[in-house]
Amino acid sequence: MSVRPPLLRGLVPLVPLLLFLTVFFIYPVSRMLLLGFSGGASAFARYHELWATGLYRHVLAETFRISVTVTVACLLLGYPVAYTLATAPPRRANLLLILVITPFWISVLARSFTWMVLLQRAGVVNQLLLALHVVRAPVPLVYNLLGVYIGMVHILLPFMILSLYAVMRGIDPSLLRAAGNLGASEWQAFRRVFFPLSLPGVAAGSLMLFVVGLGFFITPALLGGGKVTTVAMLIEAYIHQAFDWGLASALALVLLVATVLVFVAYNRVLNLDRMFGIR
Amino acid sequence: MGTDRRVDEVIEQYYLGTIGRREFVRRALLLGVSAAAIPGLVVEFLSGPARAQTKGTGEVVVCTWGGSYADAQKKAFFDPFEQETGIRVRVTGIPDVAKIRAMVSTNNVEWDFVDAEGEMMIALGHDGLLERADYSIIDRKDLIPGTWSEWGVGSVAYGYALGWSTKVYPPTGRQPRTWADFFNAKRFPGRRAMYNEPIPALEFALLADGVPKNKLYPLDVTRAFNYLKAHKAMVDVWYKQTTQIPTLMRGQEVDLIEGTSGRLSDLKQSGAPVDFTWNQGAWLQSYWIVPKGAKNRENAMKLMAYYTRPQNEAKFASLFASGVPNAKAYGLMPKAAAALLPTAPQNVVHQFQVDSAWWAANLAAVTKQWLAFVGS
Repeated sequence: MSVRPPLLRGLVPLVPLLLFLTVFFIYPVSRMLLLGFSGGASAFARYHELWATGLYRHVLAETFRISVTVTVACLLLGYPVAYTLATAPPRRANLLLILVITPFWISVLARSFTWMVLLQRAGVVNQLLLALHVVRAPVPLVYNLLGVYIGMVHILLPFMILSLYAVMRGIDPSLLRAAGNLGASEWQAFRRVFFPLSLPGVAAGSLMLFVVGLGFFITPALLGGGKVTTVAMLIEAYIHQAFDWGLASALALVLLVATVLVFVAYNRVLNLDRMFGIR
Repeated sequence: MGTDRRVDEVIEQYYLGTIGRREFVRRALLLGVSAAAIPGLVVEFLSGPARAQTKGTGEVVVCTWGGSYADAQKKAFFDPFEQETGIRVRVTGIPDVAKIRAMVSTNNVEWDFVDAEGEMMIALGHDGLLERADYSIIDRKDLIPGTWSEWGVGSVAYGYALGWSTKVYPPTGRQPRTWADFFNAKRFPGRRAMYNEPIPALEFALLADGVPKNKLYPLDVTRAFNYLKAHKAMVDVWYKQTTQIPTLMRGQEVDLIEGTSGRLSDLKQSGAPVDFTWNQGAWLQSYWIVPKGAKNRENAMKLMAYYTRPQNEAKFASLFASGVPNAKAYGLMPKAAAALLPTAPQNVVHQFQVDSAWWAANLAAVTKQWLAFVGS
């Protein structure tokens, strides 16, 4: 029987990190969130104000909708890439991996601006479409929801690919060979062996993308043309244009709580613990 | 000083670079200046009472609006100022009231000299967040009334106007002239862009709805928002920074735009297929302000004093068409350049001045409605 070390002693290596987080993260964020409860007639005045203006409900719903759509799109586009990465011979896999990671070296801001230039009416993409006679007039690809989707998928796709790849790499190829020996076709082997084993990666990647997507600010601000408003953009507007930090803070807390609720629901439905083998 | 007005003008032209050294010497001699005195003329010119005080050390951090506007300011003011005084000028950022409030309240003021809109200055001054302008070293006797305040001297008079693409609306055909035209999709089908700010979108909406120019203030906010809501679908792009105006017009992203007259004029002058009208345009005065607790307050005041010089203002206006505070500057500009300014007499008569005092009192409330309008 193994002797487990006392709980407290096991936590000692974490103390420096916990101190750092407390001073530079927990304390400032708490003070910021407390702002949402001050300055009004009552502690919950800001929240009443948010509820009263249908704006925040509309923006919250739109933010969730965008995040879900982008997550699904990244899943559909990223799964085949991750599959290729996981099943390719090592040298090719390394090369492909470098290609997937390279975009991380360019800032989100630079990439978003580049999309603005590429997708505009006189931009390269439209010029190509016109030259190939696919369309007769320039297509509005940016300064709208489509532009936001394109930009966000482009930025979040590497995260999804890497999440899926991390799990797919752990799938034992001999399992697939065994399935083939037992009479399964390649497609059957994929559907009944590989795919179920890759689901933890799908779940983790989707959750991460969804949560990150909820906080997106720069890409929708630049590519949305003012027609797309996400919660992060609204918080920024309350701080910069309306100078109402209390309202911004209240909205930030609402977003935080909504995200946590989503995570809890996700956990319940998909039973993440069991999927990851945590007993 | 002992030199007469015509000699002064010749010295100014040489100083500005309008005439070369040989021409300067020739004209000075023609005006009766003795040959021996010529080398000393420029030094004497530079060391006049206001000028002697501007020598200094260190740096001053200027916050202005970027793009070709900031480039013109650099050429006309900041570079000559640096050469003359030895004070280094660092140009940065985009002015932002929220940032200034945060900076002053945390006593970490990064900007010494900020190009602020009128209502920004009034609001910040009212809340005690600005240093008072030091008029003991700033010479304000030639400044046009309304272009200086207790908080600072005027930077530029800028305007908002209706611009369009001449490719889509050539001079041979119909061209938009009023804000009612801007919001008329039948007569002017095309894509539109507006500045994502309530100033002066509300005024333009009221004008489009039929309110006469002289009856705009106090603004009927409800009526303005109703009009805007009814026409919101027409607007394809709400841009956040005025530096996007050239991108939108050059990229042919939109055919009609509510933009700043300075940038539209700049585009037109540089040959882009863009035109605009002064009709029903709005003009406003912006001011240089010094946030309270600025690290280089003295240098900022020296730069403010430098900013009133007519010859530099004339040069700036020729690089970027904006109204300037010093009345003498208008006489120093070529007539063609003066005609491009929003405050030139032939242009200002078509426009209206935005009431900064009304906006300073109402901006907070209107902004929330604006956010709800754009976000919905």
